[in-house]
Amino acid sequence: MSRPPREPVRYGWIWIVYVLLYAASVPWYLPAGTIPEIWLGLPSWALLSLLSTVGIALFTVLVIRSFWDDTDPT
Amino acid sequence: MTFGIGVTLFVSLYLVVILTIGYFARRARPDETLGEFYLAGRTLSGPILLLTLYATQYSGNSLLGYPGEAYRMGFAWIMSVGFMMAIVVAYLLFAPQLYAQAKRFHFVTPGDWLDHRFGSPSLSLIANTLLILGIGNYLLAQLMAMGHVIAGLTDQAVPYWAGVIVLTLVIIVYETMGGMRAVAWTDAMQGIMLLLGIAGIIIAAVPGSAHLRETTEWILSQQPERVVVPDWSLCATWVSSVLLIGFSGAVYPHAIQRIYAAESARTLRRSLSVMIFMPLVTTFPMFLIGILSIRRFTNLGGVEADQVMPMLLRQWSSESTWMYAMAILVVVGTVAAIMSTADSVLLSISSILAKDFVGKRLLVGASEARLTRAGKVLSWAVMLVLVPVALAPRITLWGLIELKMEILAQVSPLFLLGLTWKRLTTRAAFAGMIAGTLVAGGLFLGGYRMVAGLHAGVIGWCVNLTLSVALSLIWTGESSHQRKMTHPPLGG
Repeated sequence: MSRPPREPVRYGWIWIVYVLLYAASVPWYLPAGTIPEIWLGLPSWALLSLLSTVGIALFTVLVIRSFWDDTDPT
Repeated sequence: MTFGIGVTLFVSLYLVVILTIGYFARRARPDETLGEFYLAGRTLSGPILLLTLYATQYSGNSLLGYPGEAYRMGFAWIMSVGFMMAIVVAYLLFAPQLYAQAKRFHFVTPGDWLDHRFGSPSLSLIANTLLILGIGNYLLAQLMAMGHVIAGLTDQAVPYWAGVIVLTLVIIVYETMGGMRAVAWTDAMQGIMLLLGIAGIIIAAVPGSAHLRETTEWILSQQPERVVVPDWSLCATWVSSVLLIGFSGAVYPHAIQRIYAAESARTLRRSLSVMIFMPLVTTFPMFLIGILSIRRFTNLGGVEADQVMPMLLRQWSSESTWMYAMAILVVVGTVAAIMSTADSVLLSISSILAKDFVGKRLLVGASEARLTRAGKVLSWAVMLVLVPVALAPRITLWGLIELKMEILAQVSPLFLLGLTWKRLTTRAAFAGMIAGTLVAGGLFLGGYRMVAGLHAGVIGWCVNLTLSVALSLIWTGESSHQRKMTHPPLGG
């Protein structure tokens, strides 16, 4: 009996990683109104947010490549 | 050559090229079936699928509305990168299943999936109405963007109304000639133009870190609220935007139809693997443009801020020949972005009206060729209704997007839960959608667009999801997944 095709929705840990990455992209963890340091021309919290989105993009490529089977319906 | 004349010349040349593409797409269309006209015969291959997804997803709102919003909000608008990615992330929840079922059952419209899954004409009717309302609003935003960009960039030499009407006519002509094939081919060219335009922006305007630092420090000294760490309410809005844009954008009918139209699962996977990076090369430069404009143009407010990009382009054009060329490239790319979204949305509205409303209710049993012809007539009718509204704009571009998202969000659980959770029942899904729409609509129309930082649409969406799940668990007698289809899908 063949196993069902892999789809991202079947893997709970994938969605936990997404929640963590998105949580890191929102600066809720810093005190509101703080004057930030400037890193590479951006406020530090904005740069951290940008880096989190880069992480989301890279993780998505991994998910699509490894957890979504290509099988076309016959 | 003045900038206005240069813009008029190159945009005219561009319009001739895409009309020619529309003509050849018409010749390449083998028949008048719905699957051929609305899904290009389900043959969209890798590069075409990617470029049509890209050109459709990034619109006039991205290039005009987003810099304007960054100008108004400041650095917190970097949220736009994450929420545009959220659309691709949301696809991962249901696109694999939806693609497989669309191939198997020959779906043409989102309504075909709803009929197949829920077997309820009433549910499909309400959901299709919400989809039409949502993307009709989106189409209106594109028409307005056409007028803004043309009028703004030609110094009103071509007035707002003329920009709206001329570009609308071009779109509707090539769309009714070639259907999805014309739209996808022109989208491919428009996607390339958009990428070139953004490359132009990056070369011309995106600053080095020293320049950016100087600008950030200036904003911090003059308008610190745009730089400091956002408060909890804004963080809530950030999360709310990710949910709202992610789940609403994923159920754009025109995007769903591109999933249907993919040549293979591999093609779809590869396209989404590239699409996930597009916010970094599209939305992020637009964010930077908005930030740089805070210092460059002070005291723009409301709808005026949507003119940030046209104002910037006019400034560049007077700086040097090189910058003039970059500015022209950006203008054509911007027009391409707007038109590529408008044509896809229009085609999708036409398909829903022709197949789900006319084909399943008024002309039951009509041939596919007849329904295709009806769809073309309906495209013209839709534009005849929307153009007069676009000629008297009373809301910002971003305001229009938010309104669209609030509506579309209420349809997303039908796809999200419908494809991933077999226990979802028709009655529960219907009740959830109605309750979510009433809550979102009631809050929005009652003036409560945001509650504790959350969008009205997200609050409605949470009610919708909760009710859909809870009532499915309570009303366990029915298994709608097992139902027979009441409307076997047409088209192939």
